[in-house]
Amino acid sequence: MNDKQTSEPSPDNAADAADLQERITEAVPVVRSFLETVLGLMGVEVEVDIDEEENGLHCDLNTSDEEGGLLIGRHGATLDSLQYLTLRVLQAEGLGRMRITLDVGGYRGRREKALRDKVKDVVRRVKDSGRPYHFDPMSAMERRVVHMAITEHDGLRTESEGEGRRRHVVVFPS
Amino acid sequence: MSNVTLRELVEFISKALVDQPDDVEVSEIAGEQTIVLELRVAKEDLGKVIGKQGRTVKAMRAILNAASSKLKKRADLEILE
Repeated sequence: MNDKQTSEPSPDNAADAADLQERITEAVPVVRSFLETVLGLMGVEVEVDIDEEENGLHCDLNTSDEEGGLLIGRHGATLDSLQYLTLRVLQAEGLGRMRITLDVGGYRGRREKALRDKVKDVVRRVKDSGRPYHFDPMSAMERRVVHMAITEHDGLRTESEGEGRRRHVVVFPS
Repeated sequence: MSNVTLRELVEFISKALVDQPDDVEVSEIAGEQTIVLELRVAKEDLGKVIGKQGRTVKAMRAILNAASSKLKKRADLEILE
């Protein structure tokens, strides 16, 4: 399994792309009603902003800092769980595969920046030592960020190793 | 906060995931520190609420934990077969 290929929905032709766009538009009210109800039942006051993107939906959950921290959870665990369930609900509704991103107060961007900074350190370390480096386990979305960031550097390659919650990126000198 | 309703939370999410929402039943057993939620679904829907490698039920538990932390309690979700 290669995250680089499997996580990106790649429409084969224009018809597929049109179908995806249609499904994305249909998904907006489904996602909105699911998120608003779940967050309401969690007792979180939040405003959900949904943007249609090329491959799916980006949803900003706007709330207070305190509630935001609760929604993000430890290492993003709560936010990732909510995101995963949203995806499953779309599948249950027959709307199929698309990318769903949930964000709270720019958390995803901050986390991506931190990962990119870490990648810079790791690239230096692997080039200097000539030995592979194992990242900590992370979600498919975050592994993808790491894979992509490493491809910007020549002379290194990446793979994902381990199963389930232990799945992590390994950087090899090549 | 009194507006946190764990039983309804589990029920709503489960109903959104399964093919037979009418068969979803959730009971709540409230202890002093822990709230146990027991979820029953149609046999054919068990996979839908458990997910591959238990990922769906794990995600529901994470959301429950966040919600129950507002009540200063622990929540425990069990799927009954």
